[in-house]
Amino acid sequence: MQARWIVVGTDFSEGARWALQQALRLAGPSGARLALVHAYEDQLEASHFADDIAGAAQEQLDAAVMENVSDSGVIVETFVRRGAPWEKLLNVAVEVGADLIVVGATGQRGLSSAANLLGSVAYRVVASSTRSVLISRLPANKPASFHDALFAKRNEGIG
Amino acid sequence: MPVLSFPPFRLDPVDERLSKDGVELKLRRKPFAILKYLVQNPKRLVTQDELIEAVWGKVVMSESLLRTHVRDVRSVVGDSVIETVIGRGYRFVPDVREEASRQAPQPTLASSLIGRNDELAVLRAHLDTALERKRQLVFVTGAAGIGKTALVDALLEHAIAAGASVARGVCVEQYGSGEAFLPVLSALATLCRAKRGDRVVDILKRHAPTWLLQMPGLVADGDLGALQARVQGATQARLLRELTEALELLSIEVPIVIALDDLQWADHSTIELLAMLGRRREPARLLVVGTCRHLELGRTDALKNVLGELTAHRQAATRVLEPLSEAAVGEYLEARWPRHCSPNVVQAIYEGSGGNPMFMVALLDDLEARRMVRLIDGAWQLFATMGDIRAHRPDSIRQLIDIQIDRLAPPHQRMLEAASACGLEFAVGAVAHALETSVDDVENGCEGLAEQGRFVRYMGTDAWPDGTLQARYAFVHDLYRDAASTRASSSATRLAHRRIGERLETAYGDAVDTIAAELAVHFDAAQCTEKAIHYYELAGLRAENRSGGVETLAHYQRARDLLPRLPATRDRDRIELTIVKRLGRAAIAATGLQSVELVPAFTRAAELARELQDDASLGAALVGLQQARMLRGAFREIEAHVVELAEVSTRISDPVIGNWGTLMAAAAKLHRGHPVDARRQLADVANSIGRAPSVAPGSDAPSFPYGPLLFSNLAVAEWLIGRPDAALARALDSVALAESLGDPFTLSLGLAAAATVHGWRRDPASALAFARRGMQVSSDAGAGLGLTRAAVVFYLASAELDQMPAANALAELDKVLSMNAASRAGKTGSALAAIELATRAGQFERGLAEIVETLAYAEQYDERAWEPELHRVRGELLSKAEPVAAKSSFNRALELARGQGSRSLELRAALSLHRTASRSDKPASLEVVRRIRQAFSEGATTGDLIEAARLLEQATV
Repeated sequence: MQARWIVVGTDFSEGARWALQQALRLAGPSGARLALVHAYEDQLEASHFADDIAGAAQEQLDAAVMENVSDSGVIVETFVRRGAPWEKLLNVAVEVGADLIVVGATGQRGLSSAANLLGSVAYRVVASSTRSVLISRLPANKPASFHDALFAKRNEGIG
Repeated sequence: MPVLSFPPFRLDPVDERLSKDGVELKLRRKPFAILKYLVQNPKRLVTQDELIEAVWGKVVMSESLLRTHVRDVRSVVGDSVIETVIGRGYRFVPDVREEASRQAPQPTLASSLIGRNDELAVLRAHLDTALERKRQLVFVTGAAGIGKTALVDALLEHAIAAGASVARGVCVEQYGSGEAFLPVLSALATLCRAKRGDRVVDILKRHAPTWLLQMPGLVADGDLGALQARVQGATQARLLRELTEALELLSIEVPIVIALDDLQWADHSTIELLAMLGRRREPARLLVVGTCRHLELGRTDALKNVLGELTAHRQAATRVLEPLSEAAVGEYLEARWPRHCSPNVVQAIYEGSGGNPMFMVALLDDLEARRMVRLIDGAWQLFATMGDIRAHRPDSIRQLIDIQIDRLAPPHQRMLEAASACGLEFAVGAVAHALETSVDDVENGCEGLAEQGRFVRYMGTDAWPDGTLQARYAFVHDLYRDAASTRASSSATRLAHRRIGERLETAYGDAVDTIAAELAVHFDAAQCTEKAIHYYELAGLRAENRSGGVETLAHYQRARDLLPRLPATRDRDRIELTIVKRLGRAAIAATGLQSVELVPAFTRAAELARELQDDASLGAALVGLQQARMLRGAFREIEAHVVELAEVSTRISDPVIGNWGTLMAAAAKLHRGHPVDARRQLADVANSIGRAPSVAPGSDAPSFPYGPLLFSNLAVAEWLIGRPDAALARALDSVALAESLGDPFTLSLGLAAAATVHGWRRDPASALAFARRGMQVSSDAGAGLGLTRAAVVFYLASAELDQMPAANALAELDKVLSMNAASRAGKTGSALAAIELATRAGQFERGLAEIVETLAYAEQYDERAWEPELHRVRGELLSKAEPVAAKSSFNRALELARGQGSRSLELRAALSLHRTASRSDKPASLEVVRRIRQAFSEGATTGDLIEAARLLEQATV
């Protein structure tokens, strides 16, 4: 029996951090592993394709893991992928054989025109995935900082 | 080529394999080529330049790169084998022995063909039938990756074993619509280059010169000129006929099997050829097998229609390849992972792949790559649960391929994405340019992937016209190209297309027109509108030379549709004018003068020409407009341009334009029932030009000469006004002139006119002879109008001479008329023939109904020339049952004919009236005949006048 997996996507935004936290809470008790995915796309304006983007992304992912995961006991694997984020999330879900995909409701890319309250990545993941998807949403009374939010949520015992 | 051995190594130059003590060694392509050359030239100094030229061709290359490759060779075969001659080159040291060439290993069909025994048996049965001189067309359809190509591969092996010559061509998605006959030409080229190829070239030279000319590489330079002279003015109809006949002849000597892949992307001309090959009944040892994705059939109506029609008439068979059964999946798994395929695994794979063989194989590859299935001590073992296998199951084969590409390094990902913009096949130089990276990087990248058998395979090395040598690779299947192309963002795709286009442009230099269609698609996709338009124009010109009417039209239409994206300037107007003029010409070639594209195209061309004060173009546009309107029966509108044409004609001192205007106006008058006026105008022009050959103004107008048309129209006018001998003389003038000008379109009309005049003169035997020739010339020239007119006479005369029962003749005529239903001019004339045949066949009801319909039509379109005849024939039909009504019809015919000045029709009406008149009416009706007869000064030997003379003589006696 291979381990169960939860895929969580991040664009390093506040909403994505929140999604990671929620994924960790789900993973903890179930013993599932986490696949933390960041996808980047080529910037054509740059004169050369910057593959150091991938290196930088990897560093950021590692930092996110250090910051949020190290004391949770959850095993996390990081994935940097090149391409459209929604598609790469689904691909990694197949690669690891995930049961669940967690994605922030809105990210850096803003709202999708198709679904007013959903970011375009979240919208396309929901629309295309054959696996369960959890849309993670920052609380409406958004606190001043992520740490405050995390603290408040912890106190409320959500998870 | 023999296998070369230098123990313990063996090198097979054909299969490009190197082994040591029987174990195969990996060596990349360039190092292998270096080793091969050295082994083939042992014991002597091979200079660096010689080696570079042998491996890379005439290029300038750094010594360091050569050294790197030689180092690679040495790492595999050892340092001592290749000696460095410092500063000069290399020497291959060991003794080299030649061995007899090993039989190339047969590709293992077992894996790809599992579960397809029934389908293969059916195809083999078609092959057997074809070998018995019963031509066969088979279409294998099914989803992408379902195994169509593998099935055809297996069939072709059987065909080769049965002694058949096999030709194969592939349709390409990107510019398939643009290159007429692309897959057929490449299939023919394989035939010409294969065993017995000389014989193929020979037969093509004699029976299908138009085709040989499309493959200039196969013609000796000295023969080219003579060949070009023979194929001048070739139409698509001729191309089709020549090839089908050549294939039939060839198949007498050796059975021919032609395989065409991916017909869903076939160009229109290729589809036409398939239709023709299927319809012909001549025996031939010919099997055509095509593959086609049925899911995409809906997009290509032309193919769907042809397949449907051929299948309905049992002229072709269609086999739909279904997904593999669970049992077949089990069989494959058993073969791949012997002794380890539980029913659960089989079920999981079957469900995961939906029985699609390509998906199935990719899934299994993936399981092996994940090490969920491993080979341990010679036995396969499963290291995953069913749940795991299901959890890793991709939603589609595209996703699976996408995941495989995800796992490549980003530069390789970009390489595949850029390559996908080139098409299924790509040259490394184009991809390198798209990515602004070095050709070596791309070449090494492709080579690496190809060696692992992933994504791409090596296709060969070509030289571009600028001298650069290019390795060509192809995606292993279109699904891979598709997956790679979907990955790229739209802006990246645009950029790739632009850069690829630019690289190809430079590479092809002066020969750029040979890839115009490809460039047009690249620049179109890149949104480089100006260049896209330019190359669509060039592609259109090239397609015109290949007689691919529909493809030509498509190029010009796309160019026209892109124009609004350019800023509105006079330059844009100029470009648009050129395009719409050519569009008109292409529309005529594709669908004839009745094309719906014509009136809008010529109207727009005239507008632009007025704006740009381009009188030559204005003249051409107006003439084209008149011709299009003529065909559409819009007679009243034709005369609107006569004055403007005369003015243009004066301004540019080109009488041809003015003459065209007069000719068209006179022809319209003729149709409208004013033969006297029409004759005067036509005769004036005829007198002014004598018999000088006259062609259309400018090369952009419908370019056929007007002289023959002038004479054929004059023939009709002469006959109507009562000069049957002059009519025949002018019709024969028309034929002679068209013949001397070598113009098949006007020749077809001239022959039809001569046949018609003979018919009117009541000489059915001569009419039949001219009509037969007219039909032949028309169908070769693809001239629908000439065909209709000649066929009308042909069937009428055949019935009259009792060579065909009237009912059959009528049925055949109906077929021809329905094929050219769109062309209106002269419709009343052909309706008259049908009515006459219906009468002969005893179908009076039909005859009467059609008269009513045709009279209404004559009024609506003002095509009144045959109105008197319609009334007369109505009278004939009624004469037995309703003599009073009949008499009134004859009188109406007389009155109309007299009003028009149509003496011949007046005489006919009078004869009918007299023939059916009561005894008491006879003297009066005879008097009418006498009066009309007196007005004739010639044609005494023609039928109507002979009958009149006989009646008058009897009365005198």
